[in-house]
This record gives sequence, structure tokens and C-alpha cells, in this order.
Amino acid sequence: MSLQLVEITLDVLTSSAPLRYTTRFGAGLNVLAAPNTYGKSTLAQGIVFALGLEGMLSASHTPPLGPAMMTVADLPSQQRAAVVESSVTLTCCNDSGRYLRTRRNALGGGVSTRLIQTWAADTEAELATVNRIDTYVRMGGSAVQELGFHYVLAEFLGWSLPQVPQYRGGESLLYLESLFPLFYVEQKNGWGGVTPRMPTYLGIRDMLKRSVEYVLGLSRLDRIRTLNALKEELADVRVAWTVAADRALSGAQADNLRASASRTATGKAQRQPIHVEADVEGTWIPLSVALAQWSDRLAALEDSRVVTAGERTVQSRLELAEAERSVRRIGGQLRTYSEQTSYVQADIDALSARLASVEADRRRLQDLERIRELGSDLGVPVLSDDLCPTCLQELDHRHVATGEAATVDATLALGDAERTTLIDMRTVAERRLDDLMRARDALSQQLDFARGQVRLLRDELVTESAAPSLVEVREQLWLRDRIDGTHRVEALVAVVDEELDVLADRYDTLRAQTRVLEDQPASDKDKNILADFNQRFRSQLRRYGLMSLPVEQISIDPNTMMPTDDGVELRFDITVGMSASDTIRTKWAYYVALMEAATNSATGHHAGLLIFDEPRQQETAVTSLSALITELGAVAQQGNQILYATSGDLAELNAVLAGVPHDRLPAPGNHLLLPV
Amino acid sequence: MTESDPLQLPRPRRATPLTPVASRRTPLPLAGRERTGWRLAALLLILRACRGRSATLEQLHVLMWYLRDDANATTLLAAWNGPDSAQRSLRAFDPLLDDTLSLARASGLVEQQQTGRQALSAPGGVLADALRSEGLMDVEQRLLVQLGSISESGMWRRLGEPGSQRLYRRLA
Repeated sequence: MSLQLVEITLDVLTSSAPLRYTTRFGAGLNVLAAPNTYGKSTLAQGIVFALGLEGMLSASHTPPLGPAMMTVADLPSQQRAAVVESSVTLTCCNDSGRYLRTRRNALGGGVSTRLIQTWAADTEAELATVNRIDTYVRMGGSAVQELGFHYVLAEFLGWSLPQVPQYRGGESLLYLESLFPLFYVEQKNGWGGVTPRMPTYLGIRDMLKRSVEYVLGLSRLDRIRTLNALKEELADVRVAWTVAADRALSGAQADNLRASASRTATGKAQRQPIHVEADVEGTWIPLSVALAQWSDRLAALEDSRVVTAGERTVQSRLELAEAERSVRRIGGQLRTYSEQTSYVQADIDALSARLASVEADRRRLQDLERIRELGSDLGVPVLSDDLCPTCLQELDHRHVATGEAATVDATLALGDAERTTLIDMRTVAERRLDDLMRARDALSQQLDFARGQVRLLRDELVTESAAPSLVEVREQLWLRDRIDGTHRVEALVAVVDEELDVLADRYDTLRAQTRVLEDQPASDKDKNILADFNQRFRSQLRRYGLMSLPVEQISIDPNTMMPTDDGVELRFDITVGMSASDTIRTKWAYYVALMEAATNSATGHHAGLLIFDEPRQQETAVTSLSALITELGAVAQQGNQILYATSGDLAELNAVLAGVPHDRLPAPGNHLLLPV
Repeated sequence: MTESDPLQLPRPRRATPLTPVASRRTPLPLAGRERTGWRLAALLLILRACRGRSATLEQLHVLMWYLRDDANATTLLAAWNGPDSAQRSLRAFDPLLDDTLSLARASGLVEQQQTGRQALSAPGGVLADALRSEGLMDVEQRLLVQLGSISESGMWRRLGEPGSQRLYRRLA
């Protein structure tokens, strides 16, 4: 669905008089011709600001508007007045004929610039009567929450924005700020470079590629979306698995048993049933064996008469000596376990510290990739190409013994491998710590039992001879307690085993679906759309008169969506013969061809809006400009809206516009804003 | 020493290689903080955070060391916010600073003033502003924000000065 501008009003309250510029836009090609410093960029950026999209220009939260809206405005009386308050009101409509009006304060008025007031209605006239809804922008959640303006705008456009991979791992929404650079070229920095200038601070990996794929409506992005959904589901399965395994582990631990449930999700082939063990006199044996032993002993005790204390005095003395030895032995073992526990804990701390350092380096390398992109945008070769400004040799090579530093990508891959190893080592150490703690707890319980036995036997040796033996009564109670606990754990493990079987099945299915999607080749539909984009791009380059390179050599790389010269990324570089004016021609062709190809694509998501602020940079030839205007006129006839702002020669402009249907935006006076 | 000397160990003989020996340069990994791009960007951000967008070499050594490592950052912040700077002084040395400064000056990003202070040039300022507005190196930027606007006197007041330096300053 497309976005069509209907009307814009810029309001400024100065210390001397209120100023205003208001205009309605035509449905096709709109031309604003005015001299430099008139305020054309203020108008274009007013549109961006009213749509809360200034984040596409920089991470700064300062409104991108000119001084006439922010600091000092020129008055027709040749005087200047301080700006007290300013705001932009924009009305637009979509394909369904629904209207949206937005109003945003740029300065003063006691209103935050993060607030955008909105009105939505089925007709333009109704906008005056409907209730206002306040939304927010440039804050967390503004693209996903119901009152976030970009959520509202995406809904208005009928776009469901996909999740895309980020530089730092994980995924994020393909924000509107990463799509609108394909619809607007601003005057100051927009015409530098061959490709659209994308906001790198959003941290989206391959942002240009993802944005162009979405705008063209390639199924590749759908595939990524489906893959993301599968990954999310896999993550849910992993979480459910860990929760179920933890339930079995903690249930066993509560009864002083040891369960061998894997906390990591696996498929059915690798799945091992949960195995539970009990500590019997210092040895871990299968629970079923321990249960049989305890049941036999209990049955034997219950079948025999209760022995009196006097009858077992000799035995009690021997048992007392043995119990005292046990207390000493277990105490010693416990100390050893405690020592080992602290060693393993020290290992874990060291591994965590190393992991933090590896992750910090990973972050620095990821930053470096983006610094290089920025260096390339701003033309700083020492940053973009890592070249010495004096001898033109690569700089990083000097810092390694072999004289050849690995590339950033290779270093990142190595860092990732080290990170994986460290995580694995830490997991193993944590598991070892868990085992040690469990064994220590079991020993601690044995120690308590042995101490209790010592106390009981001492009591029994001094008690009345005819009294029943306390030791035997206590053993019977202990055995009953153990048998009950064992039954509880067995029931719990059976339930968890069943749950894990279901999850293992689901895990296998999801992995198989993911593999199928990952191996799928590009669809024919995608190939056709890309071929159309390429063909339009080339034919326009020909019409605009590209001279630096043969047009046949230039194409759009489907892997990066960047224009390439015989497979090498195209950039303004006088040494390979790409002139500055040809860079501008390439840029025109890229934007217009993208708009045409997306309009032609049934699944495309172009806003149907293109704003060119001063496109005639580098004194491009009049013939080229004429070809561009003719092309824009033709695109506008297909239901697209174009705003073309220029300070070029008026007679020349009139000549190239002759015969091209267009609307001329009013430009009275010397400045955009005039007294009300 | 003769061949029969029992203390003389037999000299190991190299085995003849079975195939022709081929040698090639092996790329070695280089940490992010050692790479020129990162160091230049860090230097620009540091100078941007300093009062007057300029700093002395001694300041730059300490501040580059501060950004190099999380442990360094923790140490410096503890000293920066610590109560008693009279009892100790914190200084540090970044071995790659001279190289970074040479490159920055050769690229026109940094200028050396007559006083010997290193200052951001106009293009360096534009690049530093772009780094900030693009939200690059956000961890390093957050670390610098924690120090506020960095002046030379304020920095040494917080990090302490060696006794001799204090005396010299007083005499001057």
C-alpha cells in the first residue's frame, strides 16, 4: 500500500510575528523550484519529521529542521526574529482512501518532540471532527506498541515489518527508518556515494539488502521470516525442555537422589531416558537396586520381633565405634569435596572473565566493521581501507608476527569459535560443580545420619535394658521415608520422560523444516523481480547518459543489492574512472528503477513516494536532467508521487518540464515561511 | 672439547623433508583494540570528550588505556570517583598511542598545537560527531560520558599527581 502526501503546514511562532508555509501536494510529480536558502530542505525534512522518521538521517534526537524552524527566522522586512515555537502538520492518505493527519512540535510549546498527535478518518473533512490520539516516537517500543507512531504508520501503510538479523546476533524489526532512505534523498549527505545512505546505528546486518528485498517484495524475506518463526519455536522447545529436565533434577535432589536428565534439547535418536541413582553407603547405585535393598531390609525388620536395648548391648558398642569412625571419615571426605568445589568455582570465574574479554573484543570488531562503512561514506581511506595515508600499505599487517593480519571476518569467526569453546568449558565446569555440590550434600546428609547414629547408640547404651532398641525403630522409620520418596521421584520422572519424548519429536520436525528452508534455492518469482530491477536500472543509466563505464558492465548484485562494475562494488573513484556526475546518474537510476520495479511487483512494499532534494548535483548535463524528469513524469503516471525540489535555472527547468504533467508547489517571497 | 667428551650431547640431525618445502604467510588474528580503525576512532572520541577538543600526550595515554579494557575502565573509574587522590596517583601507558597519533595526524584528523597538545582538526571533528550520531562504539562512548568534560587539571586532580610533579607545579 502506498503513502500519498496531501497537505503540509509548517507553523513558526517568532518573537515578532507568527509565520507559516502551507501547501497541498498533487498526486503525481510535484516540483518546488526556488533559490538556495529558500527553505526547500526544511519542507522536505518537515515531511520526514512529521512522520517521525528523522532517525533515518542520524541517531541524534535533535529535529533535522533548518534554523527558520529552530533558532532564527528571516522576516520579509529583512529583519530576523527568534523562534519561540514551531510545529509541522502533515496530512496523507493511503490506497484505501483513509486519511492520517500528524502534528509534531519541533520547538517550545511545552510539548516533547517525542509526541506525535494523530487524527485518522475515512475522508479528509472528517479529520476535523475525529478524536485525537497521542502517539510517541523515537523511544523504545514506538515500532511495536499500539501507541507507538511507527506501529500506527506501518498499519496505515498495511506493512507487516519483518524481523531481520542484527550485527550483534539476535534479531530486530526492519524499522521504517531503514526503509525510508530508499524513498528520500536529502541534499546534505544523501547524494554522496552510489548507494542509499543507511542508518548504521540501528545495527541491522546487511540493512540495504534487507530493505531492498522488502521493498521489492522478494520471497527471500518471507523465507527469512518463516525461518525466524521456526527458530523462535525451536527456542521455545529448548526452554520447555530445560524446564521439564530441571523439574526432574530438582525433584530427585530434594530426596537426595541423582538424576541424569540432559538440560539440552535433542532429537529422538539422541534422547536418553532419565536415569536416577541413590547414594548407598558412599556409592551411587541405580534407584531400582537401592529400592529393592531398602524394601528387603524393611520387610526383614518388620517380620522380626523388636529387640530390647539390653539384648544388643555388645552389638551397640561395636556399632558405636563404627559410627564414630564414619563421622571422622565422612568429615574428611566433606572437607576434600569443599576444597574441590572452590577450585572448580575458581575455574568458572576464570573462564567467565576470559569469555567477557572475548565478547568485548567481538563487540569491538563488529564496531570496526561499521566504522569502516562510515569511513567509506565520509571518504576517510585510513578508516575504510586500513591504508597508510603516506605509503598506501595496509596498516594492521604491521602488528602481527607473520606480517599478515587476518581479516576482521576471519578474526570474528575465530573469536566465535573461542567463545563457543569457552562456553562449553564453562558448561562442563558448571556441571562438575553441580555434581560436586550434590555429592557434598549427600555426604553432609550421611554425616548428619552418622552423628545421629552416634548420639542414638550412646543413649541406647545408658538406657534401661528392657526398653525397645531405638536404633532399630529409627532404621524402620528411615527406610519407610526413603521408599516413599523413591516412589514419588519415580512417578515424577515417568511424567517428565513422557514430556521430553513429545518435545524430542517436535524438535526433530522443526529441525527438518529449517533444513529444507535453508537449502531452498531462489524462487523464479524473485529472479524475475530482480531481473526487472536490473533491466530498468541499466536502461535508465543509458538514458541518463552514463559515460564513465560501459552500461553493460554495470548490474545490481543480488547478494548485496549494490550496483557493481563487473562484479566489483561500484563507488565514486576517479582512479577507476567513475566521475562525480556519473555517481549522481547512478543514484537517480537506482532510486527510480527500485520504485518502478517495486510498483510492478505484486508483493512489493514501496511507499509510492520519492523525494529528491536538489538532485542536480555536480552540474549534471541538461540532457540527463531532461531524461530524469521524463522518467519521473512516467513513474508519476503509474500512481506514484514525487517531490522534486531544485534551485536550478528556472528557464532550463521550464524547458525540461514542458510536456511533463506536474504540479508546481507555491514558492512566493524570498523565504519559505511568511507572516500569517 | 673432543668427540669423546661425555658431557657433549650428540648434535641432532635434521631429517630430510620428504616433499619440497613450501612456505607461505599465515594470517594471524588481531584483536579489535589493536586494529588501526578502532584505535583511530577511539582517539577521536577521546579528543571529542576533552575540554577544547584537545589533550596532552599524558592524558591520551591514560584515556586510551582506559578504553582498551574493561578491567582498566573499572580501575580508572574507581580512582576517578574515589575520595582521596592525595594518597595515590594513577598513570598508564598505551604502547600503540604514538603510532595512532602519527596516522591521525597524517590523515589530517588530528593536529598538534604549538604547546604540544593534540587537537581534533575540522575533518576529525566531523568524523567524531558522525561516530557519535551513528551510535558507534556505544560502550566506549558511555565510558567517556562517565568522566564528563575532561580537563587536564581536573583529570590530574582526580587521579592524583606524583609528589615531585606537585612540587614542580607549585614552584612554577
